[in-house]
Amino acid sequence: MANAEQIDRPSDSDATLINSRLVKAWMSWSLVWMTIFPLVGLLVSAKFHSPDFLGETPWLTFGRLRPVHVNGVIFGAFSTPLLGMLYYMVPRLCGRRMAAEQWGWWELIAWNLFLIVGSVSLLMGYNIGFEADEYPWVPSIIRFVVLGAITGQVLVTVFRRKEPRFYVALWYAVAALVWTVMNLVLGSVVLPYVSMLGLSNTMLHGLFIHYVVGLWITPAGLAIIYYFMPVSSKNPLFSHRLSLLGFWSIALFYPFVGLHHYLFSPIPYQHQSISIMTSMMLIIPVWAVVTNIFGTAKTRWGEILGGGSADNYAAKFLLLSMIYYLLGCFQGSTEALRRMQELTHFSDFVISHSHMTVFGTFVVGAVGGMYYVWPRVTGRQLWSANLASWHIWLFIGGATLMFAGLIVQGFIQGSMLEYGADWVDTVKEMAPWWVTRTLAGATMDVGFLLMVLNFYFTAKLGKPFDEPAVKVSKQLEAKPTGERIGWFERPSAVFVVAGLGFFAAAVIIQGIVPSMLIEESGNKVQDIATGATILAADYTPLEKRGRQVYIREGCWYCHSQYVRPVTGETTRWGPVSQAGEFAFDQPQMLSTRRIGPDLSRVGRKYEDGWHIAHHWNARDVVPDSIMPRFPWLFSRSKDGTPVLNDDGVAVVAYVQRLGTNIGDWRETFVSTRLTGGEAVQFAPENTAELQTLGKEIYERRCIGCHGVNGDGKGPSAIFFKTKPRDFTTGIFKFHSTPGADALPTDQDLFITISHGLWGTAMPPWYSLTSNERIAVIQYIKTFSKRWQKDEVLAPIAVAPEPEVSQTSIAHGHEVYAANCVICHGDTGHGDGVLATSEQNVWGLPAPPANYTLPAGVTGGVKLGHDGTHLFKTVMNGIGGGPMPPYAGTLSPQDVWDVVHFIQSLRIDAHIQELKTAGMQAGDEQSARGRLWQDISSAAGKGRIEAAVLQAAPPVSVAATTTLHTGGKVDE
Amino acid sequence: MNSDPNPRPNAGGDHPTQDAPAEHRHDPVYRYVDSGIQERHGEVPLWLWIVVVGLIVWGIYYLVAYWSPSPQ
Repeated sequence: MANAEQIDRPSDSDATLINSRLVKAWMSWSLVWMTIFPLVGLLVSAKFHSPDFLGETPWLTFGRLRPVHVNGVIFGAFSTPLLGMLYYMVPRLCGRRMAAEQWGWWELIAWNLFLIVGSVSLLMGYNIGFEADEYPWVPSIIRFVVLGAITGQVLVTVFRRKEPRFYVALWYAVAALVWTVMNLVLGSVVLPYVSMLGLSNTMLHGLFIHYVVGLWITPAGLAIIYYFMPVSSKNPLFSHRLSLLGFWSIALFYPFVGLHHYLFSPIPYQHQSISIMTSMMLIIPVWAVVTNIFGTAKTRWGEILGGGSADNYAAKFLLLSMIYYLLGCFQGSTEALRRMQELTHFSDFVISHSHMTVFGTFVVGAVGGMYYVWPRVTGRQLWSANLASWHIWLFIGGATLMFAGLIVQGFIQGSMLEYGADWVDTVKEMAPWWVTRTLAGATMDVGFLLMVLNFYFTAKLGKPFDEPAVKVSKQLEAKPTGERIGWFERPSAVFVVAGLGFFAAAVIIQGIVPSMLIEESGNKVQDIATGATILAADYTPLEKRGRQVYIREGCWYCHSQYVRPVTGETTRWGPVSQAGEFAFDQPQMLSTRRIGPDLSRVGRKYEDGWHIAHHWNARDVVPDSIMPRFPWLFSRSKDGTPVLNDDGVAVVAYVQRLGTNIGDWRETFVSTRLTGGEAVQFAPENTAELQTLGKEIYERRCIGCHGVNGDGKGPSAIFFKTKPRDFTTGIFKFHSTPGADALPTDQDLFITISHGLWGTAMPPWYSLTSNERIAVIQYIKTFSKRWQKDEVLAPIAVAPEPEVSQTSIAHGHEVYAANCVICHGDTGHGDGVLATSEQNVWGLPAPPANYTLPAGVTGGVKLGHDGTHLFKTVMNGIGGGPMPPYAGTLSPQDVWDVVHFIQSLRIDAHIQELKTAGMQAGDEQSARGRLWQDISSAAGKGRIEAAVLQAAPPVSVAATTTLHTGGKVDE
Repeated sequence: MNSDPNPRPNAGGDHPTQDAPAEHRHDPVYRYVDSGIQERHGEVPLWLWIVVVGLIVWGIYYLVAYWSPSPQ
């Protein structure tokens, strides 16, 4: 330095700049949080392969522990050492003590209080529902105050600095603090409390999540790495120009990337593209930083890698962090690409990325800094180089295993799903990998424990540490002559342009503008069945309460709520998600992970009882499930049977509501079309082989409800309103074969298995391969000797369907009045005089179907309103139930007319539902036409009388439901 | 411990360190006084400039090509 008088002094023990006791206190607490929060992650990991582990206590379930781990690693394991190191780095880089340094003690206390209160709050279920921002308002305020105060201190210190130049570590530190203070306002105030559309909430939350990662962890971590790499390697920083390129490209691109968490969602396409493009642009700063840091170590490799001092280990960890930075961020950039995301999003591939960057890069970077700082603030040499060596090698071993394993898992699961595998099969496939992850995590955690041990004994038993003397300036105030400092390396530019400017630009471009684009459409959605525009409805108070329980229990960490138009999701789960569906979702629940299936379309897929059984013990229903039990959502009835408590009732109501805002879409869902069974053939000579496979399928899919003996007494059956079929009797509901209780054909059973039975716990099993469905049919037949004794008759011939006409419907009404009304009631609501007394052959209530109900609502038809199916059912009756066969009693023409009348009941109710949901009157005729085409073969071929579409149906059926009743209509 | 058995001579001011790689011998080095950090003015490697330019070109292409979804 020109004009600076040089003196010798041990800079790192210089009490005039650094408060070593304060830094030591921050570092000590850092060790605590670096131990605890990763260990919580170990518990979380164990639950993937051992879901009952610690599962009976609410605050130790996955949904409660997961946010403790994630937030704890971010704000405890990483941020605590970072904040402490600011008290070490900033004074040295500014040539003066930290402004208001004494605040540091209170800040440390408050920071620890925030972590403790925040973690306990999350364990108790106080979760505001925004990923990486789950803390309730009390700890959030504490966090904001501490970070705000430190931001102010750092800015004051920087602007009053004596050192003329503004080192790159300070650029990152200042920017990280300014960005994060603003981001906390976004996360803790705007997201939860400013009313907005759900999709706007999603976009802003996407930005928030990535601001935590990209505008806090990354720049703050790079501040550490940029500071400690030159000092620990004792080499000059490789390139100031690279620093400039790295910093400004991060500042420019990172604020825009957040929407890549929700690609293929209804977020405006071009804004998704901006997030993808800027994600790829992050390759620039990453490669610049990595080049700079590795360049700094150049010529010192031997000393760093072979050395056993604390500084050598600091440099080793810092270099290790850069390796993970390079790999993890390249992974992050490329996984933002649409095709990559189709395959890998929601899977462990993303978890690999987050662990490699947050933990592998920046927590490890902080560890590197601590190896450098600890001897200097304790005045002791590192106690054991061996322990440090074990630490780094255990970490390398564990991390490599974990990161690589998770990437492989992501590709495996993604590939399986792309090829149409059943969801649960993909989960089962992950099990051994998850065991490996737990072992890998444990390995890393052992390494961290060794570090804590080493640091403890360093402070207690280490040899005295003497910092080698370095030349320092006595006179620091004078600015060196000839020193040129560009505007973009000044604090004001970093603060104003990078800190405020780019942040604001990104929030406007990626948050506010797309919100304005969707604002006009509001809660408008397109009804799937008719194409008409209708309005999504808000949640009922009960559903809102259920949503809170859903958030509290962390269901959203495993279940996403948006169906993408890729990787077969529309055939797996249902219609692609629409913007208007999310209108009332604040906090948004789109989620970023699928450990369980997407729940967007789960409403009305099962009867309530299935959900009750599933929450009581998911493995009773789905043996391969890894979902936790939720016994605290239950109380006990007088006879000891578990029954839902108020929270449980609410969460089931919420889940049943999901996906119902787009109309009654199941009737036309391609995956469950009844025609799927018509082509099924199987060769009898393969029966034994198929039965073996079928047994395996049965034990994994069916046993929870139908029981090990096929008697319908599986462990979940007690919760169901409609009891599972008893296969031992050989009687099945739906059969195309003539006669009461006739044995069905394989095609009949295939249809039932593929379609599921609406309003019951029997889901559609189209996700199984045809061969698997045929196999399980062969196994089901082994439960009853009827299959050996009785003959399976040929299906009845289905008479050609006549034109759908008013005459046909009117005649059908007459036939219905004469034959059906006593059970099904005048208006088809299933409320005839015999309705409450009807029983099936097992002595269980068998209420007649309510023809007017939407798909999946309990009490409605079970295989839909398809004309051919209804024709067969009327002709052949329902096996085991009170519905007799009418073949021989009614002519085929009469039956078709009855079918048309029944269909008209549903269509009229459906039209009424759409009107209630806001369909314009002008859309009614075309809507009727679409609905008729969907369920009537004749109408589908154009044989429908125009008057049917225009005139009111012969029977005025008052709609008793809306589209949004969540399965409660029949009660 | 971390004491360097062969401490390199301190390099104050804008002068290259003695142990700087040959290609950086004439690269100005700035020394931050109280931290002891030294910083080369350095450069951005050519290959990285190529990456930067390539990515920017790709980024412009991507935004133009994917501003709207392709018709199904």
